[in-house]
Amino acid sequence: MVASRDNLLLIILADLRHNVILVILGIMILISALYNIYVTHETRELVTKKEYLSQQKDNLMIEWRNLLIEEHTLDEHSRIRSVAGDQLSMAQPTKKNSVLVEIR
Amino acid sequence: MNRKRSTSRPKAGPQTRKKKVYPTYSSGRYIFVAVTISLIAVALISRLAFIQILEPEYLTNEADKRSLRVTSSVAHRGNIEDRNGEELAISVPAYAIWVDPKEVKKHFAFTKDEWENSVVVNPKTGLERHTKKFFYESKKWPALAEVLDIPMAELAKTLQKPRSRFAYLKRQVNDPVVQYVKQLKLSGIASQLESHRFYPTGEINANILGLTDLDAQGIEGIEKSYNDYLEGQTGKRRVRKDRLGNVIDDIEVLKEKKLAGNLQLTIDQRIQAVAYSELKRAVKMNNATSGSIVVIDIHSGEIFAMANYPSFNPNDRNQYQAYKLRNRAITDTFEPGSTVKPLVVASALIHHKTNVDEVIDTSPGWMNLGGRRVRDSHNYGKMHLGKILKKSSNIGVSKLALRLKPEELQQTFADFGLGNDTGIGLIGESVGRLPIRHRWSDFELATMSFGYGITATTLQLAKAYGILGSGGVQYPLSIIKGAKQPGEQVIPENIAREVVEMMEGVSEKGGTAPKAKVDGYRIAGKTGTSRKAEAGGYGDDYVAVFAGLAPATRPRFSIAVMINEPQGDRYYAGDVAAPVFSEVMKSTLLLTHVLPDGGDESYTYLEAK
Repeated sequence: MVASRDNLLLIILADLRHNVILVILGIMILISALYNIYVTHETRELVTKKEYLSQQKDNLMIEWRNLLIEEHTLDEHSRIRSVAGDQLSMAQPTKKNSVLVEIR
Repeated sequence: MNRKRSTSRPKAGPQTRKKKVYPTYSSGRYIFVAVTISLIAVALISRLAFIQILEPEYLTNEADKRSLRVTSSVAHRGNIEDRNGEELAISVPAYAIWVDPKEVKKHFAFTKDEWENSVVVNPKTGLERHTKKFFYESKKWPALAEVLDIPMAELAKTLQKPRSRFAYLKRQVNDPVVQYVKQLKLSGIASQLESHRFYPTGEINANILGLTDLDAQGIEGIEKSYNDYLEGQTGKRRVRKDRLGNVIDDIEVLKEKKLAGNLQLTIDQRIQAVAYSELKRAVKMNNATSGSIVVIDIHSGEIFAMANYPSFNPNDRNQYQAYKLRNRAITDTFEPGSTVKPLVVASALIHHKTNVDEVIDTSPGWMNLGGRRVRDSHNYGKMHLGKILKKSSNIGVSKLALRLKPEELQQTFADFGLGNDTGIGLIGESVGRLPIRHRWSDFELATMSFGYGITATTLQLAKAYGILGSGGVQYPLSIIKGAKQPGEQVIPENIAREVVEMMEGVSEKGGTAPKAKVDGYRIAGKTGTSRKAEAGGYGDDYVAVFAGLAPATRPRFSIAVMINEPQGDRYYAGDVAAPVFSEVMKSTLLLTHVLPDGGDESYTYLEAK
């Protein structure tokens, strides 16, 4: 008995056993706090990812606009006309060499 | 440890058994420890309370300073598209390179003296070191000047400005240049995102689209008229960033991002390109000063093409000159000349002063009105109404006009939209001049019947012919694609049809404009060659106009061509403006798949499955 009364650890444990509800509540608070940290971290990662994706979307948009400019510079109608006429020797069909097709 | 304990226990054992079970209790020590620990605890708790409750702002501020950032997300100006969704104006991000001269002066010396004064001696090693670099020895600055295309002297001047903290070095720079500048790692140089407007179709649409300034505000044309719609609003958000610059938390939206609207025009770029190139060719071939052309869809009032020459390339601001920018088709008025003759015939028919079969004697080819003479180029003799238009007889229409009251003729002109706005809603539109007064001399009435004394724009003329072509229904013109607006019957339908039929003679053999013919289609039109009024009378310069409709049996398009001041032997509209009409009308009809009404096509039939 004397030895057990001497052992501090056992005394503490005995004391805790008396207040078992408090102990459980304490542990739950701890778990909840840790989980809170985890969720916050997770949220931040998702926000970062979203930000990265929207940045990427912006970049793609810019690239698309630049490609659009390139496309329209190349497919400008007077350019096509001159390429068709001069390089490919094409001509607009006249009445003589065209046939009207009517679908009935 | 165990051994030590076991050896010491026997010694201690007897001692404790002799005296007490517990070690000696010193109350002084206990109090000292207790007080010290509780003091430390109180100190910690009060510090905590101070930080958390009494003055939390300071640390919150410090934390925010290190993590809160405002990010902006740029909304680019909306695109402008043609009716088929082809972009005519596109905004892309560009950068402005700017400099903080004070920052540059901190690191670079511009004079030898300054450079030598910047020497500091390292106290440990005794070595001399310049804190500033000598500006003219650095190889980076010439590289910067070269890539930004500014003279070195000018760059140095900008950087040496006293007390200056901000100066643009170059605006509207593209991304690769910015990357290059960043790699130079020059202190005081920074870039700022802005927007660059690009017009893929260049000079073809420059007059109607207009321009934006460097701050992306429309300053001319559609860009100005619809600036509010095209303009987006850059959004601003407050966010929290971590050590690496990643956004970890969205705090609040400071300014809602507003996406810019895209604008769709009624212009068909294919037709527009043909119209511009044909017009340009005609203006150059005839050494004219300017020209305009308008193509209108009769049954909706939509403008399919509207081109002007001279124009300029809006992508090259060095070409910018105000006179080239003007959208002449809507801003410049001229006396429409003989092109109003069909309207006079229509007026006479409306007021029952003539009938379709009437034959008018125009001999001897001239007549005197109040001491002034009206003449035709030939003595045409007796003509029916169609031939009067075909030959463009001044005597013929004058005789019709003289049967009308001036108000009646004016009312008809007004019904055709002269002297009134066309509904297009662009900045700078001119309404022309249709003088309203009560007393008209016979001569004035006669001259008005062949298009003098009133002025109109090319667009108004195209609209007036459009009203003839649509069977007397006027539609408000539009250049922005939207819901079709309801038309309004302003001229009786049968009269409009009859006048169109009469106008067919103009492009036939013996008419004033055989060159206006379109292969495979019947056209109805009218030439107009009017002398230009100048101070003190009419001068030697002409305006050549052709306005017409096709196909004549079921009109679909109305085109008006105006060539201003053609020089050379052939200045008549039939030689100058009619060929442009013919080419543009041909392309328009082919591109929009209008069924030919010429009557002698090779036909084949295909059974639909």
